[in-house]
Amino acid sequence: MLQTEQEYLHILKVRLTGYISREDLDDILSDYAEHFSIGKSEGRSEEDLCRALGSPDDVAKEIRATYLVKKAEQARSARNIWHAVMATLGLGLFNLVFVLIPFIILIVLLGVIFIAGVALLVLGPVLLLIAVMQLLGVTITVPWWTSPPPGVLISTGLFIAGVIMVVVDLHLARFCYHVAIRYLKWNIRVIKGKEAPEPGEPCPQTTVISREGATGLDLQMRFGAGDILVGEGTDEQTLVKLTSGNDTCPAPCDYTATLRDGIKKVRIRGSHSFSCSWSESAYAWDVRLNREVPTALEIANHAGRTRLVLGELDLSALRIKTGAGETRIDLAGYHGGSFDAAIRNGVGSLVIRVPKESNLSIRIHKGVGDVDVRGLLVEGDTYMTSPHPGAPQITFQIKQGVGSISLEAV
Amino acid sequence: MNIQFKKGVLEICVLSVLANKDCYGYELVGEISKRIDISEGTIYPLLRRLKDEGDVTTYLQESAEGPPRKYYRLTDSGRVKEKEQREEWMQFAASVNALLEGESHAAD
Repeated sequence: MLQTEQEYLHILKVRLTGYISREDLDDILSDYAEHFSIGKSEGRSEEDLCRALGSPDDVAKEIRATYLVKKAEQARSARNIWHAVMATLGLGLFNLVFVLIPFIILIVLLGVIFIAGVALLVLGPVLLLIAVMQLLGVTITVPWWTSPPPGVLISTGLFIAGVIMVVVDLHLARFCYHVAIRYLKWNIRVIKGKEAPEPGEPCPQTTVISREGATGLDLQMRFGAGDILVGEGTDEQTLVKLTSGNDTCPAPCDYTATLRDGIKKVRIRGSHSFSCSWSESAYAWDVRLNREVPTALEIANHAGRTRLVLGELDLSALRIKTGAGETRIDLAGYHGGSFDAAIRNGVGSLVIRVPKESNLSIRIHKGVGDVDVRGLLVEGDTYMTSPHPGAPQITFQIKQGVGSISLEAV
Repeated sequence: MNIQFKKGVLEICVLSVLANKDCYGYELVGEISKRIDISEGTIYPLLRRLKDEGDVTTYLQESAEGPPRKYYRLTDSGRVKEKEQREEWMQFAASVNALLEGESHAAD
């Protein structure tokens, strides 16, 4: 359970960063900061205010869903509507039945009509050609399924039917898109995934690994499935602060820590059992690291969202391996030491924000999906920043499986 | 009470409070959570959505106790929406009440 205003605002900020515009983010954070400041001036404690506000995760999910639906409404694309559907799904299991299944049925239906229409569109002229040739007295052998070949009228009729089907299908798709948006909006308005946690219910478990004079951290984390968030935010004497589980269910996790030659070696394994009911949101791991201690970071996540907010940390190496799920790596504002990074992403989009003020070189082995790069120089498959003397040297190797890559220097 | 219920009616609650007077966020949250037990944090996303849809506007106003506060005010379209939803709700609630009372009489 969250205790302080700072924690609340921090989580909200991290959960929304990269999803909504800077101005909107500042605006939202200032709304909650105002709430806290007025509440405190009325003599309420930060802990009490946090509890009354409920989970910042839920707030962030709702804002994201609203935002993505709005985006899908403004710019029509299959990708935007997909994102909007997925974000709305994230609001709770109840939605699975109400959002995904109708959505999939609709897509399949529209797809089938479209394919049938295109087939007729192609078949019609072919049959027409055969019919005309035969009228002209040319004998051609036709496959068994077209013999005897239909006449000119029927061929033309089939072609026109194909045109009508495709046109109607496209109109239908537009109409469905419109309805889908309205439906998603209704969902956001009405559907609420889970109850606000009552005080005293089981809460996330926190593990603290102390620094004990270590001058470096070698951290390896392996997770089965879940949402992972890594960022800064420990006190000076703490090396790693790990919070696992969601509001209603702690996630199983074990770790080992050994100190050798001033380097603390920490191995964390998060397992996934299905003791928690399906209706709860996925397991979440929140890992906070010490911003003063150089860290070699290795993370493997088989399935789930992986978000790394590393701009405030001091890294010595970065190794990420993800299976299925979206991956975000935010290094905006990074001013720590130089490091090499290797990223292997399986299925899912990969979003990376890198600092402009650095000596950066990024090599991308792209898989299936678009690569969108902003603010970097290109040379073949390598992207770089213009040199900044004195700034950290960062080398990235990115291997992407299926999904888009978005790379932005900020 | 069922949370699905609450979320569905939250919008009309917010609109209705704002129809009486302009409020700042904390005040509005207080008005609502006084009567309905709900995660207070979810009211802010709702206010943003109403603002996006043009049903409320915001303005800053100095306060005696500290920094200026963000006030929410219903727009004309917000007032229309409030009225519509209020009537809908009243009718719905009256029907449900009539039904439930009918049931309890039958049970006696």
